[in-house]
Amino acid sequence: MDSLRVMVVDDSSITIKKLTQILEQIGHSVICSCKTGTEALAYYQQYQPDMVTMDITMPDMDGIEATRQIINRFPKALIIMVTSHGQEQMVIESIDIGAKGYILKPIKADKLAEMINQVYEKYKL
Amino acid sequence: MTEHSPNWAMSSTVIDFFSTELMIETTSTTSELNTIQKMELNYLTSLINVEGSIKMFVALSYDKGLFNEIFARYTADLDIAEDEQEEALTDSAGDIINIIVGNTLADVNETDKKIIMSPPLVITAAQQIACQRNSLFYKANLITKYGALDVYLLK
Repeated sequence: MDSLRVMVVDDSSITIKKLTQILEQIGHSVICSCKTGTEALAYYQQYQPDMVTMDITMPDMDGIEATRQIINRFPKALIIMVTSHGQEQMVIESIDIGAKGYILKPIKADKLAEMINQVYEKYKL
Repeated sequence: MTEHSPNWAMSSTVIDFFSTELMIETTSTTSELNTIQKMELNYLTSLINVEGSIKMFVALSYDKGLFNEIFARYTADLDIAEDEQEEALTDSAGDIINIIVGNTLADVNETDKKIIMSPPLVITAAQQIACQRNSLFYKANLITKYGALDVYLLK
């Protein structure tokens, strides 16, 4: 599998650091990160990442709305939702609008690698 | 209180999270169900509001020694610069309550209706929160070798 250029969207600096560390350990690079849905839209347009990890619960624009707006403008965007247990309906809503998968917190390297591989193999251009 | 009540599940989830993710064992637990006019807060408190098919307000209030130990373990493998410490501390507290409340909701939600968790709030300089008169609350006090955690759940 190719090394992917990933954008990380999460309002927690710690989760951004953890995701960045895991993504780099499994051979990918984090080309940008941001903490709000509004920034995610602008950063996606600017950096055109191969894949996005998107937190669901964020202040200002949440991850579902940010995903909706990115998919509207970039229908082939590969977005993986990051959320905690207990948010299954939010995950279903995200998948319905075009997110390609999800992982649950606390984030485990093997689960993230598996989800990235699964999404990449299914949707790679 | 049953195994599927939010009260029971919340304490259970905290104990499990501390043990499996942070290797911190809870040595004793006490709990009470009562009415409240104010919550007495410890060194650091994180809060989340839950709306939807389950409605509740959750607060986790940590002793300083316990939270410092949790922070050290939760961020052990990360590089955090001196000027990032304060943000890292509050973000860690936010991450942890998000995971704990989410896991609790997964245990107790018996419907397929949407549940919305607010972004977490973290406060460090407050001594108490005033509540609506006679709010019903559940409080658990969890003791570890590093200090105590008070779990508040208001419905």
